[in-house]
Parts: sequence; C-alpha cells; structure tokens
Amino acid sequence: MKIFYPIPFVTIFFVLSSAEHAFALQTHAAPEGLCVHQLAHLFFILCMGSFAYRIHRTWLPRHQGWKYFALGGILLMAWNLWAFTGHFITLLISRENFILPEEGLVPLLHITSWKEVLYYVLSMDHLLCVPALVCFYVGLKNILTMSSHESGADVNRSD
Amino acid sequence: MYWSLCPIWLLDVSGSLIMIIMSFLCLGVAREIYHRDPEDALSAYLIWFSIAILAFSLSRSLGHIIKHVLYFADLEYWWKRLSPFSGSINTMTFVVIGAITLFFNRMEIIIHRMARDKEKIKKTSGELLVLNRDMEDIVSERTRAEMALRIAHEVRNPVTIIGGLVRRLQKEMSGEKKEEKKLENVLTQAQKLERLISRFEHLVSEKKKYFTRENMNDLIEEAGELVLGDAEAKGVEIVYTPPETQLIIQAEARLIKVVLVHLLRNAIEASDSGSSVEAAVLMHDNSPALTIRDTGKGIPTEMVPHLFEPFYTNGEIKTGLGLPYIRQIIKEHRGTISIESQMGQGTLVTIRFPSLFGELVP
Repeated sequence: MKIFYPIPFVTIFFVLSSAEHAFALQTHAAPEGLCVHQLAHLFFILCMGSFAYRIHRTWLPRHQGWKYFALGGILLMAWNLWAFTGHFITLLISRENFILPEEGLVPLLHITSWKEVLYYVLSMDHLLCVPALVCFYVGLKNILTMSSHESGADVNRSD
Repeated sequence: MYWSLCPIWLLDVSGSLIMIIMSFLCLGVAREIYHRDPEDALSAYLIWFSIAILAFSLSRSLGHIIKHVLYFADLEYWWKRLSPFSGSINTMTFVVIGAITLFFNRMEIIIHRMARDKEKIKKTSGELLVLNRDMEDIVSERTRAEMALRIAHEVRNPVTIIGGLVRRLQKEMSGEKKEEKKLENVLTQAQKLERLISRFEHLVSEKKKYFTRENMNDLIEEAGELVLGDAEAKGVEIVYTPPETQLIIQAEARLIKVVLVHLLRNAIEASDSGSSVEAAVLMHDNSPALTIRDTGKGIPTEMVPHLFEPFYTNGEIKTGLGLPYIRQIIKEHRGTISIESQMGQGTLVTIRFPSLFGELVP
C-alpha cells in the first residue's frame, strides 16, 4: 500500500504548478449587494427563530413580558421571510409596469400577472414589522412593571 | 388593470415613522429597566437589543422616507447615490441584531444557572440561619446547665464540711443531751441538702440534647421492628434494603421513630395481605431522604393536597391529627414530607432532611 503514499504530494504539486495569476483584491460586482442583503435576511430569520424558541423553552415565558418578546421575534421572522420574497419578486417586475399618469405624482402599477399582485401585497411589509416593534415595546413595559413590583416586594420584605 | 401605489406609499411612510417612534420608546423603557439594576445581565441584554432595533428602524425607515421625499422633490438621482449606503447599513443592522440575539441564547443559559445558584445560596443561608439559632439555643441551654452544676458543686463542698464538723462536735459533746439534739437536727438538715444537690446534679447530667447524630439506617430498622407484629398479623412483608453508605442526620431519634412507625402502620393498613411495604434510605439532590412505598389501594387524588389538614373529609375518608403531627415533627427537623398517591396503585411518602443536617459516612 506504500505505493499510494506519494499521491497527496503529487496532487498538491500539480495544483500549485498549474496556478493562474493571483490578484490581491477580489472584485465585488453589483449583484453581491442583493445577495448579501438576502443572506442577512436568512440570518435574521434563523436568529429570530432561535430567539423565540429559546424563550419558549426556558423559564422566561413565566413572565408575561417575555411572551411578548417571543411573539415579536416570530413576527420579525415572518417579516424577514416576507421581505426576502419581496426582493425576489421585485426582480421579476419590469420597470415598464410602473406608469406615471400625466396629471399625477404617484405612479400606477400595471397588473398583468400574479407577480404584480404579489409585489403589491409584499410591499406592505410594515403590516408585520410595526406589530413586531409594538410587541417588543409591550414586552419591555411588562418587564419594567414586573421589576417595579419585585423591588417593591423587596422593600416590604426588608421592612 | 392599474393599481395606484398611493396606499403602499402611505403605509410605507406612516409605518416608517411609527417604527422610529416605537424603537425610541423601546430604548427609553429598556434604559429605565437598566437603571433599576445595572448589574442585571438581562437588563444589559435588553438595552443592547433595543439599541440594535433602533439602528435597524432608523436605517430602514429613514431610507424609505428620504426616498419618497427625494422622489417628490424631483431629486431621484440623489437616491440612486444614497441607496447603496442606506441598504448596506440596513444589512449591517440585520447582522448586529442577529449577533446580539445569538449571544442572548448563550447568555440566557448562564443567567439561568446564576439564578439557580442564587436561589441555592438563599436557601442555604436560610438553613444556616436556622441552624445557627438552634446552636445558640443548645449552647445557651448547656451554659445554663453547666452553671447550675458548678453552683451545685460549690454548694456541696461547704455542706459536706458542715456535716463533718457537726459529726465531730457530736462525738466531742457526748453527754450534753440538749446540745446533742440540736447538733442532730443540724446534721439532718445538712444531709438533706447533700441529697438535694446529688439529685439536682443527676437530673442536669441526664438532660437530653436537642439533636443528636443519628444513623437513618438504625432509625428505620428500629421503627420496622416496632411494627413487625402489625405487619405479620396483616400478612404484609416489610422490605428494607440498607444503603451501601450509612446516612447520618442530626435528629431527635424518639420523634423520628414516632414518624416512621406512624407511616409504616399507615402503609401496612393500606396494603393487601401478601403484598409488601418498601422502605428505603437514599441521597436525593444531595439531601438525605427516606421513602416508604406501599402498593395498596391508594388515596383519592382530591384528598392528597389536604392530607396534612386535620379533620379534612371528602365525604368518604377523613383525616385525623396523625399526619399534621408528623409534618410538624419533620418541619422541626427543617425537613419536608410529600405524599404521592394513585388510586389502585399505592402511595409513596418521601421525607427529605436538609443537607446541612446530613452527612455521608463512608
């Protein structure tokens, strides 16, 4: 079997000897922006999912405030999915579908297929991210009230 | 078919403004929580999370609002220049929120562990306080007893001397009947005093201590012997397997035996002929524990939470004073007693003693 031992070294030698010109800087083409943004959305989805799951699985849901936090996390997760799909659909809509009327400031969308309908619906993503923030706010208020009660109870105990 | 983008734009601008307002409000509340307890890890997390949410809302909402403003100001080309920055910052905030959230997942485990340890320390401090109070009682009792002994000892010497002197005087004054009678009376009183002191010394030295080191194995074996007659009469076998290591607790043996005998008798009564009652001594969560299990008819579920209430009844079964008395004894040992029961399957009684009172003997 010793005959096979040089194989890795020979492979490395051929790979190195057949190298092209190496450039110090890697170029970043325009589509990379959308790609990074979409990947960030996916990362956001995973993080919010694990956040909500973590809260659900631990002792935190005993407090009402953290339940709202978990709900906010789920809503942000849904918003990310919504926005992720929205970015894809935007690529499929032609610019010709946006028409500016002669006597108007706001453009109109020419509905020719399901894609425009989906784009129209997905553009209203605030319907998800605003409730998510409301949930975080209510959750924080609950945590604040709870901590006030706890500190009040501590004062009573020390009395 | 043409649909106006007006509703989308209106929702976009109003939604963006609401997001900015909400995220500022979130940060305000998070700051208030943080200022209440700056050392609390969860408060620190909440403030970081709120900052990240604010950054996310600002980068996103300001971008959207500026885009619409520039459109209406006929400066759309400016948006083309700004949008890559706005988008990049927005993407970065996603990653920041994600990173903070992932950090939270790890931190939550640490916080939970810290809270558990804090609770444990609190419990241990409470037990130490009680133990300290008990020790103070014992020390003060012992001090009083020792002082009484010392006084008795000091009184005994003069009394003995008085007795000796009177006896000598009696011998020297033989013939003087009147004085002899008086000396006889003094001697009788001195002897009375000596006997009183002896009795007092004996009583003090016999006084029992509050808690003594007791082997749980011995306690349960002795209690088992006491109920052996009842068990044989009913045809029930008492099964007790001693643990590999001996468990020592600080206890009042007589009282603990009362508890064990009562519980064993209850278990025997509930068991059918031919069945067995199992007793065990074990370490449970670092605390010495004792269990008595029977496979008898069991207790109705609705009765179980009221078993330690005197004279509680569900119409069929009535509690007495036995179990409340037993719980009182266990409480005085800083222990806990719990009863689990299922109809038709039997009953399990678990007594746990505080860890501070127990120790393993290899």
